[in-house]
Amino acid sequence: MRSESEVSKAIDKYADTVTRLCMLYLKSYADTEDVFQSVFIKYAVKSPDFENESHEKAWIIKVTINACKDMLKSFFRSRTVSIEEMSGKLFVKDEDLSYVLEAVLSLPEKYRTVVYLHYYEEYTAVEIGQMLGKNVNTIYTRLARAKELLRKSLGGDGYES
Amino acid sequence: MKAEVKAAFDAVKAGKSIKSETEEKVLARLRRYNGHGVSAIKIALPLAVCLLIAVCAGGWLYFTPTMCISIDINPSLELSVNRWDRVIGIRGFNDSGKYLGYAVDVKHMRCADAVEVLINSKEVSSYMNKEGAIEIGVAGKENAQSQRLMDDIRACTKDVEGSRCYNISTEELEKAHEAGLSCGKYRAFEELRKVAPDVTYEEVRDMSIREIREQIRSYNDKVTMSNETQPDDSHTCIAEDKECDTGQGHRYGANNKNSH
Repeated sequence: MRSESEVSKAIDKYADTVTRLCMLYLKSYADTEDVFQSVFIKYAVKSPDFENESHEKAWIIKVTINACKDMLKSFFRSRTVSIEEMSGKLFVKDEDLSYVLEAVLSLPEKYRTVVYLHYYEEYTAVEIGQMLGKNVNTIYTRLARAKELLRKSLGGDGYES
Repeated sequence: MKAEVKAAFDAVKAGKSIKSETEEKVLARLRRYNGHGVSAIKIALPLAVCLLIAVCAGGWLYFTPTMCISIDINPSLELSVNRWDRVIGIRGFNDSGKYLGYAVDVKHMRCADAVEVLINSKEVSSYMNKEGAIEIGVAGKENAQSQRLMDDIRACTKDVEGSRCYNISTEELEKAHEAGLSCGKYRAFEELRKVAPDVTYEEVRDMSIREIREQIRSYNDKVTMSNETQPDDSHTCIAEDKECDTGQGHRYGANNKNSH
């Protein structure tokens, strides 16, 4: 059981990470709210002792992804909405970069997650494989395909491989 | 691309309202668990454990016998009775006793009701027509329950021709069971053995009470006849001789002579 101050600090530290993952999977404000709360309730009540901060963050990411997947299977999930509808309630949108987000969100779900974890959170393929319970070669393959699809939708040269 | 993806996601932030609402709800839940309120499981679990213990203890108490009622005609059977005067077990000591226990199910009845149902059953009536004698013993510690059971059983057998009620101690109950006999049959056996030392448990097991009493009477008659040639001031009778019966139960121990 976590203390109140630990919970408040965790919400402060990881709220944006949880929000981004929810956006990748759910595309619905109501579902995002539910998952957001369930992740931090689990953190407060059921989280293990963490070895370090990166262990804690990896745990939060895994729990969020699992909660999102459960929500996607749930009969009670809300209808999906556009990023514009979500933006007013959830996050501050940078208009110039919304096309990048749209491109990422248009990828298949399994590619969106690896793109986010690799390009934004800067996890290696090995770490992503451990987090998602997938073979590292699978992660490499997904990253390569995601890059190819993003290159097509975003256009242009000079992207890192 | 990496830079653009990073910048795009950087712009995604949790809104203040979702953070504050979540913090409120999570802290409220924590407080419930930490005993600012008490979690339901902290109340339910001890209650469930207490209930389980109470049920087990109650069950143990209900099924623990405190008294034994021995019924002997020729069927010999015993009723185990708990502290609430309920019949919790029936044991037949011979084939006819086992059959009677099976045919007339008196389990969980009040003891007096059980005795009444048994002696009024068609099975017992047919045995009584043949044998004409029934003995009912109340075996156990001498206490309020044994007195109460004796009073109840006397009340329901007062109009039964050839019936006799008595108390028997726990020591004799144990000896009877060691010998594989009901209390009443064991008691009769002990009396017969005084006049016929060669008699064995097996011989009396399938004898009716009437037959055992007749054997005792016939041995006593032989003793009386042989004593007529040698006058003796002392007169010993067995307390269950009808002429001596005062209608009161006698407590039987090692010596059970009543002299007049």
